Amino acid sequence: MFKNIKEIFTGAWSILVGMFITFKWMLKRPVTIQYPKQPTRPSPVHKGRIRFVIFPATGTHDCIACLKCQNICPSDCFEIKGDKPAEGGKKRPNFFTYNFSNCSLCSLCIEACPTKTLEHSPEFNLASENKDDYFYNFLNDVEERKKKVDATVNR
Amino acid sequence: MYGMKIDNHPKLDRLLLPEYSNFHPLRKGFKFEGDSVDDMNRTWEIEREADQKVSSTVLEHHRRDYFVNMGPQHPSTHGVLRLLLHMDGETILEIDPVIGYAHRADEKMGENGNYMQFYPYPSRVDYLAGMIYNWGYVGTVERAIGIEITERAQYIRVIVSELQRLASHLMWYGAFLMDVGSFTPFLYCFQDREEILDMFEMCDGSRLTYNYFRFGGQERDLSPEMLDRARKFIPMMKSHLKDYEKLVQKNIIFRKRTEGVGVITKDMAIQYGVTGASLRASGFAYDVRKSEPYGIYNQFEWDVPTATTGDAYGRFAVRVQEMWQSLRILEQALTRIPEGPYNNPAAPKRFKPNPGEFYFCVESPRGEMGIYLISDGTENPYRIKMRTPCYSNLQVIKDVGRKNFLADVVCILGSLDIVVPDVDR
Ligand code: SF4
Ligand code: SF4
Repeated sequence: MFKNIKEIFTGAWSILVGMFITFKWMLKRPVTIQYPKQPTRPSPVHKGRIRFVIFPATGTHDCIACLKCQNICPSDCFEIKGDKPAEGGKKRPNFFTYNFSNCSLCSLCIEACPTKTLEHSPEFNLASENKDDYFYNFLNDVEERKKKVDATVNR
Repeated sequence: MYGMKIDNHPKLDRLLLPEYSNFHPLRKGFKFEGDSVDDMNRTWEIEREADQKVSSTVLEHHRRDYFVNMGPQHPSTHGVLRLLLHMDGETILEIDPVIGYAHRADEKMGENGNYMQFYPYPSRVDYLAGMIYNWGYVGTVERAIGIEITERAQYIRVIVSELQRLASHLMWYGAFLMDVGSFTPFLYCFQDREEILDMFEMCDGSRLTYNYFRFGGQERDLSPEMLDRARKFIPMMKSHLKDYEKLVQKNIIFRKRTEGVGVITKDMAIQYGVTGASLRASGFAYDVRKSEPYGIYNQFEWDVPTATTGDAYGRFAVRVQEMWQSLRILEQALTRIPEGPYNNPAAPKRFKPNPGEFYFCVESPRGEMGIYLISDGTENPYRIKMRTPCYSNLQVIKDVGRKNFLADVVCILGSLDIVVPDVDR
C-alpha cells in the first residue's frame, strides 16, 4: 500500500520533470528550416547526379570516349558510343546517355575518368513523376547548360 | 541457398526461397534465368493449397488459438519484416520471423564485379551504419592485399565511425521510444542526428548511403569546418543526453514498460550468437573494438558498458552508455588527429589478391559485423559472405517472445534494434 502511494508520487514527479524539459525546449530557437520558402544549399561536396564538367578553357567537356566510366560503374548507368572525328584528333563521343535511376552515386566513374570530365552536380531537387526524366543525354545536356552558364545551378 | 541438408534440424526450410524451388543461387553453376510463368503459378497454387489446409483445420476444430501476421507493413517492425504470431488470446505461443522482403542478393553481387565495384553496397546493407560497414569491407580487402593505412586516415576512420554509431543509436533511441509509446524524444533525437548527417554531407557528400572509404585511405580529407563542427557538437550532445536521461530514464511509465521484459539469459545469448549491445546487456563485456582491436581503437581510453539484467531496459541503458563512450572516443580523436595524407598513394587501382580466405570484423552499432572473403587470385572475389549482426539477433526473439503479450513483442523487437535489410542482405 505504502509502496503504491510512493510509486504514484515518483511517477507524477517524473512526468513533471519531463514536462519541464519539454517546456525548456519550447523556449529555444527552432532548428527547422521552412524549406520551400527559405532556400537551403547542399554542402559543396554534395553528390547529385553525374554530369559533364564544362571546362572554361575549351568551353565544353573533354570526354574521349574511353569507356572507363562505363566499365567501372557497378550499376551499368552509362551507354557510350564514340568515334574518331574525320579531321583527325582525339576520339569524341557521339552518343552518351546516363541513367540516374540506376546510379548509386558512388563516384567511382569520377575517379576512373582520365580526363576528369565527370562531376557530381549540386542539384538536389531532382524528384520526378516521370521515369524518362532520369535518362540524361549528356551531349544535349552540356549544350543546354552552356546556354545558361550564369544560371543559378551552375557553380 | 546452397542446398545443404542438415541432420536433426527441427525446422529445415529453404532460406529466402519458396519451398518448392529446386535451384541454389549461391552455387557457382547457377545460371541467371527467371522462373517460367508456369513454375511460378505452380508455386503459388501449392502455397495457396497449404494455406487453405491450415485455415480449414483451425475452423474445423474451433480452436481458441489463432495466427496473426505482424508486418510486413506494420510500423513497429522497423521495415519490411513479418512476424507470424501464433497466439492464444493476448499471449504469444510461438513467434516465427519471416524474412526476405528486403533481400537484394548483396553477396552474389559481390561475386559478379571486381573488388572496386563492391564499394557502394556494404553501406546499403545496414543503412543506419553505412560508414562502419564501409570500413568492414575496405578492411577485409586491405587485409587481403596488405596495404598500409596512413595515420590521419586511421583517425578519420575512428571519427566517422563513432559519429555513425551515435547517429544510429540516436535513431534507435527515437524509434524505440516511439514503439513503447512516447513521441517527443523521437523529434529531439532526429534533431541531433540531423547534425551528424550534415557533417557526413560535408565529408562524403551523401547523407545516408556513403562510399567514403577507399582501399588504403579515404575518398577525401575531412575539412577543417567539419572538424570544428564536430568539436562543437560534442558538448551540445552531452547536454542533450542529460536532458533525455531525465526525460526518459526517470519516467515511470517507460521503466514499467521495459523492466523485466524480454530477458535474454547468458545461455540463450551464446546459443543464438547474439552480439552487440544485446549481448552486453546480458553481462558479457564483448566488444570487437576491445577484444579484437581493429584500426587504432586500442590507443583510446574507453570502457565497455554492460548490464546484468538482460531485459529491454538493460539493453536500453547499455546503448545510452555506449553513446557516452562514443563521445569520449570522439573527444580524444578530435584533439589528437594529426596532419598528413588522408590516402595512401601507393594503393593499387586494380589488383589480384593472393588466393586465400580473409576475415575482418568491426563493431557495428548492432553487433559484430564481419566480412569473410575468399579470393581465388583473380580480379573478382570468389565469395563474399557477410556476417551481419541482426540476423542472429533477430532469431533470439523466438525464445524471448514466447509467453509474452503482444505489446511486449513490439518492445522486445525495438530493444533488439533490428534493421531489416541487414537481416536479409
Ligand atoms: S571515363 Fe571520362 S573520358 Fe572516358 S568515356 Fe567516361 S567520361 Fe569520357
Ligand atoms: S556514381 Fe557510381 S553508379 Fe553512378 S554512374 Fe558513377 S560509377 Fe555508376
